Amino acid sequence: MSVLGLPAAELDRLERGTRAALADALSVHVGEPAPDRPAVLGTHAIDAEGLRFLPRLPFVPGVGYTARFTAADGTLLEHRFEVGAAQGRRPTVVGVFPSGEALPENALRLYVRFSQPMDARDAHRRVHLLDEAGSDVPLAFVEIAHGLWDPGQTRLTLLFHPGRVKRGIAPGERLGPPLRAGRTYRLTVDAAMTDAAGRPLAEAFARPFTVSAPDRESPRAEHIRVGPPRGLRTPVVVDLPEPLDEALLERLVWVEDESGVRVEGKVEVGSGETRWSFEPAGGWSPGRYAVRVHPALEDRAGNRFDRVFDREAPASSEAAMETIRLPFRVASTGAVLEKAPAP
Amino acid sequence: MPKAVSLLLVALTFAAPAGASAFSVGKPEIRSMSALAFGPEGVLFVGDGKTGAVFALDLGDTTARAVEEPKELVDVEGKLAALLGGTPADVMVHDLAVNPISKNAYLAVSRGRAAWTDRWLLPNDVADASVLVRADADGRLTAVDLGSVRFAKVALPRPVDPAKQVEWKKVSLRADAITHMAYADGSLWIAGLSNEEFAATLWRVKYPFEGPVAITTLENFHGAHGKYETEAPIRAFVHYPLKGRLHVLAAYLCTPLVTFPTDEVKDGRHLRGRTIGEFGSGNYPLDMVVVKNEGRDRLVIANSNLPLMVVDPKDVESFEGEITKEVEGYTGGVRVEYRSGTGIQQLDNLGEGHVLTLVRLNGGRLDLAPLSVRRF
Repeated sequence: MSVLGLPAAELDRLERGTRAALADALSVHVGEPAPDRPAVLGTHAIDAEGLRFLPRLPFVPGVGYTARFTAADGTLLEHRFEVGAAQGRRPTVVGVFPSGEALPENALRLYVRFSQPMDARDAHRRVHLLDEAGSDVPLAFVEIAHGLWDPGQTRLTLLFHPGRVKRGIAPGERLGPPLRAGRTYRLTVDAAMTDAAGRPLAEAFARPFTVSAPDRESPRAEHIRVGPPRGLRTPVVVDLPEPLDEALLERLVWVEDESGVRVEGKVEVGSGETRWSFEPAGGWSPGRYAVRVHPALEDRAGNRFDRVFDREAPASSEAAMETIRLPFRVASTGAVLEKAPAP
Repeated sequence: MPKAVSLLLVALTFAAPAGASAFSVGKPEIRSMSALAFGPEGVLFVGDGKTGAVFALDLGDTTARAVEEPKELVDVEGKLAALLGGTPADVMVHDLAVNPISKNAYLAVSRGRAAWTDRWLLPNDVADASVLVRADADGRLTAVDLGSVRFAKVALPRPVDPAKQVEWKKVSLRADAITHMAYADGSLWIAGLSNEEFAATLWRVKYPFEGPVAITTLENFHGAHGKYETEAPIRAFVHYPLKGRLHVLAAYLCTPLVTFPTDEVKDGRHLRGRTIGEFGSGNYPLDMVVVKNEGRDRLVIANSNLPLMVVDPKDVESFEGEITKEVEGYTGGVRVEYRSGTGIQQLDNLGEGHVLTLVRLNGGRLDLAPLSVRRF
């Protein structure tokens, strides 16, 4: 905030004044100035053009401010202003997961990934599930004040109301599941949703999807296929029996070396979450490895490798399922499956 | 400069602990005002958890003032928003300390509430307080200009690694590197988390900053869930003599009250405290003070989810044994009484006759409100 075009005598007076005098001459207020409210904290500077005020913390878009300048002769100038949204790249929705075109009727959750950290407030009011008529599906998601965000606030988790997904529970009995097989829905994010710096979305977002029959079966470990790396700088590729939970895939699948130590590197999830690939940070060293899959890994309906979603937990007599281990080998010139003959 | 004088200066420099500075005038580079406490002669200690250091600020606020009929400062949040140039919904107060000489209140504030997304998050979990605000007797709020002040600094040895997370809150443990501070017995005592195997820590440094900073790791029994804890930091503490021996009385999340004899707080020690009270789970003790009501001392605790608690230190002194089993029911151990006073986020002594509270009222307004010690 600057006061420009001041007469030389006025500038000269200000230049000789104390800091307090500068603050008296030019003050900025939230809303209207009021005697019981302090002026906005900041610093003043004088240059050849005029008197400037720089707020200690940035002005907030949408907040009305009043700048008040008092000249030596007592003339009062007031100027009301707002600042535009923060400069810089506006946020976008970079993906919704599961990313496939169809969701099972008993899908448990959706992830919305954003390009940058978002303002967590009001997330549940900015994200909608719309039916074919474009109406909000009531009580579709669990309403969590401020939403369920990852620590970096780039991934919003939407939980379909579990009472409506799980069988034999009152809300589901009364309202039925939020998604119905055979119908089409749209997930939308309002353009008014803002990032942590107050920038609104570059554009409103919509993702249509259809709904298929409910999935009440566990994914099966024997249907996982491991494609060993074809070279020391190519990834190991794991084909999954069905689309699995995108966020859990990043955490519950990993590669370990012969001594059981987890290998650090880069994970990619693709092909509608049916493919997981991994490449170590510095490329492979020849040797024996294994892909490990934790049995708590879930499909889109929350069915784990060791049990389906809405079933009682296994009785204590049942042995807990161990982490799935899928060995492979990396040879000096490439790689082969553990069971295949060496080249 | 005469030779003798320069030699003396060299000696003084070496007397300061590693990482400590003597007072000089300049701009203290404070990243996060995690905790505030007053020391002797109106010196304000600012604990900076992100830097892992404590700054002693000599703000020259030493004109004594008696408190007779203190007034409320209403809508402190709206006024702080005006000062910070934002909306009240953005404002967070991270700590409050009252200058025992001038009775001016100091607030560590941020404009970071947008990142507050969970009821268990404390202000330090989500933002760094970067503005120090003084509230004077006339209810004026002014930002303290830290561009050029007289200050000294001491680095804390081995503050907790920022990469480590609180599992259940998914925030960096570093937010709790400094949770509470108090000056007593010629030293500043700093509670928080270190990078030691047992993270809960009490640091002690002589003030004026001198000699090495002693680091003592702590553990204690939590009666609400029946376990010894070594990673939960002290949330609030005071010093108090029990049977002639100075103790730290410390309160923790969920809400055990624990005593540690101060003469056992020594560098390199691991200390197991005596849990003597269990005041209710699902609650952060936020602040603790000792007041004197008609000659009787009272320990007063402000809480996140429970009313004001009052404990008679005589009951603490006479309490035999300790809690080493999960308590039956909600509370156990030493007797605790409740006083009306919910929504009190910050608490400090305001002269001898009052405590100053930062309180969220039922209508949502946040006030700085004095309470008479006669209530306790």
